[in-house]
Amino acid sequence: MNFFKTKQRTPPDLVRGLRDAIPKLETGAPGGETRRKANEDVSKNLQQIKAILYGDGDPIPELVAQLAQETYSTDLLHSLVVNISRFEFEARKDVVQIFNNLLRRQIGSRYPTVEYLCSKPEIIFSTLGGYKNEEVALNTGMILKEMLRHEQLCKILLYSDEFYKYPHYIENTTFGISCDAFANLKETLTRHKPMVAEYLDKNYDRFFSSYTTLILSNNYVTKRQSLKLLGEILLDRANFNVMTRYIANEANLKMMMNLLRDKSKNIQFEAFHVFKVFVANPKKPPQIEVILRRNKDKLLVFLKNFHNDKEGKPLVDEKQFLIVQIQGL
Amino acid sequence: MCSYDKRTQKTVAIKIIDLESAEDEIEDIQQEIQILSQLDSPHVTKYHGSFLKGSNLWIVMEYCSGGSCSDLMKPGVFREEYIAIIVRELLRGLEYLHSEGKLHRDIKAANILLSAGGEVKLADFGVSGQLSGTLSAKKNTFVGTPYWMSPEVIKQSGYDHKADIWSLGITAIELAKGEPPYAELHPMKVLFLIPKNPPPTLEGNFTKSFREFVSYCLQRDPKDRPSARELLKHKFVRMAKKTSYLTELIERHERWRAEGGERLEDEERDNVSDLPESGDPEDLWDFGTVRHVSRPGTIGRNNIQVSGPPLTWENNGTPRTGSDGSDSSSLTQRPGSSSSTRYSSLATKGDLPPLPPPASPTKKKVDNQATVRNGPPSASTTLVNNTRAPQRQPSDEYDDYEDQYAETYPDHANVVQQKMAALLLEEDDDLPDTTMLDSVVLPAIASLFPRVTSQEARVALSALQRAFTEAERIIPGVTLELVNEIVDSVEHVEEP
Repeated sequence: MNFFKTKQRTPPDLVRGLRDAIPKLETGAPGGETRRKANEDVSKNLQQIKAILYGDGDPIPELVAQLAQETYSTDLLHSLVVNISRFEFEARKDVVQIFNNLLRRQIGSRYPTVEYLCSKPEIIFSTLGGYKNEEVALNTGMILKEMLRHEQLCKILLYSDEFYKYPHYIENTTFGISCDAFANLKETLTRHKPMVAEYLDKNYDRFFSSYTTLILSNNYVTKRQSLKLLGEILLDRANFNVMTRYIANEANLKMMMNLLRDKSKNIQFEAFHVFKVFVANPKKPPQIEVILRRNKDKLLVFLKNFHNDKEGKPLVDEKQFLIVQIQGL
Repeated sequence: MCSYDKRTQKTVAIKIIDLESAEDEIEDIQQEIQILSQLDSPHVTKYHGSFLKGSNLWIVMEYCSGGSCSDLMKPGVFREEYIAIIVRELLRGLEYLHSEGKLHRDIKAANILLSAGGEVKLADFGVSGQLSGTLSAKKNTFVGTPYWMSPEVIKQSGYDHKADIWSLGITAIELAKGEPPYAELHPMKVLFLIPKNPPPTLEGNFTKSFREFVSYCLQRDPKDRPSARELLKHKFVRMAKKTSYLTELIERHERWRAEGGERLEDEERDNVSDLPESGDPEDLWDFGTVRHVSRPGTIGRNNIQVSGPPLTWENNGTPRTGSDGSDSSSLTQRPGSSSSTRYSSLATKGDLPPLPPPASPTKKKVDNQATVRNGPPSASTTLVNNTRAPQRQPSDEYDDYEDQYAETYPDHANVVQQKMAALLLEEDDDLPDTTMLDSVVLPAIASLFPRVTSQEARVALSALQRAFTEAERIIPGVTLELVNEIVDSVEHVEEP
């Protein structure tokens, strides 16, 4: 009997053990023996699965392949993401490592886990939904980030309604979580540029009406970060069409001119980098030119005094360029 | 600042960072929080969460009422038997961190905290790391505490968890002697001496095993230094007593304070005058339309840092500690907490000195040399405000030295996330020429701003900065050459 005990458990054993233990996490009295045992089993199985994937620096490919197959056929990954909040601290970290290791797994040019997830978009959405629970949000955030490296997965999220939950998670969580959600939003919008550019072009109105809520947020960090990201998106060559539309809109210009006068210097600064695009546009639409011309003198004074304490030639040069443009109106 | 959590009734430590004046990118701070949130060890101060209030970020951490080792040393250095206990606990903390694929990067007495029961905790990593990075390449600032740095960190030749082992060795000397080696020298000079000289040794009346332990940690080649796990088997720590003995150090410090060992400084500081609101933005612009009545409210910041001359110190954010503590909703400042007032008062001035004058003949106290911080304003402001214990300067601590996603097996600890680039030392010649200007000279001049009073003097200092910048532009690399010349001549005077 002892002989068998020391034998390493096979991937199917481990996956089954894990899947059997997870439902028991919720049975019996809280703090009771059943739960404690179930938690122990979850942690132990996760550790052993992790050991197979990472090996001692030298994982055995056959075992890894068998394990991966087993996780797909049993939908283990979904179960892990959905139940991660019930696991212990270290077990949660193990889930992230297991998930991300499988995501990175490559056979030739294929990513089997990515292909699997393409057929199970609900797993992507559940991972995004991890932001609902602060306890595990940073763990699931790491999984989401790894997913977003893959264009197919990123595209599934971007084209889904779930994508529009980002602002909610960014606005309604505490700093660390909010920033993580924002970082993943940024990842979604900047990692695969041509794909995103096409999306933004096709879904311009919906996207920007949602995004503008972030720019107008009462949360200092959200406001500052979303303005900065807006600047990056607009100035990216891939998004030329989107930029052209954005800077033709007078409401957008007004918003930026108001943000130029925000109390926060950092927000002013980020707004400047969007504002400059309106001014630099060689073919300004009439409605834009009218506003700029009407504020010509004020803008000239304002720009001359804008962030003069800041070092750095680029800003000085850009200000000078804008001043020349505005004088020429 | 120390407060208590209403939900758990536990006292917690809170750092407040004003993101508006912080140098760092919010993304970087978030990265650090991500790392902190994944740590859970009795030997590492626990991260509880972070909250935003206006532009102030509150980072809630475990509170250690015993204070930092550098506080506890004020009545006098520690006896060897205490050091052995502390070192053992530090090794356990490092063993945990290193097995998680993390580096601390700023081990020193000021970053070692004791709980009321004598448990030893590594503190001050992450979060603030970016703010005060020992050498922060990205910001091109030279800040930090060179005395504890290993040769390979200074030379930027790539480093791993063995860098922490070196710093541990230096810290052991610090605990035994009151200060780290070269404490009497200017930090700039120390940056040259550490890579050049043979490793320091522990001199004095100590046991052979202690001296041997220190020599193991302080080997020039990182490969020769044992790992934390291996060092835990060393006789010096194996013989150490229980941590509860360390409460004697806390009691000693209490007695010393009761006897007036530490002059309580006046904690009142001038309040930063709030900038007048810039008013409704629409007062200025004329859109030729009816104004939007329901413009979203402005963000709720209490005060705005007035930006001073470039690259200067600003201590004016400090007093916020008190007022913010009282109006917080879920976390309130513990009433009558003498320690918190003491800390905040200490935090304001002396502990964040600009570069100490090179020729200073007096031996500096530990907490003075603890920080050489020549950073742009924000870095200092944030630091000053927020720490529970002022000497414990937040700094760059955890580095994920493996890809965060590829991580976590102990022995893969070789991919170093090289954040540092700044200082060039000796033969290193592949660094950008302007590093010396941006990281050393401009901040050094900036550090003089608070020491002068007249506007004229400030103008003169600005002119000096501009002159350097201009010279650097015309003669690239000139600042570096100049500093090398100066350091060389200093060395010739002082070196035998």
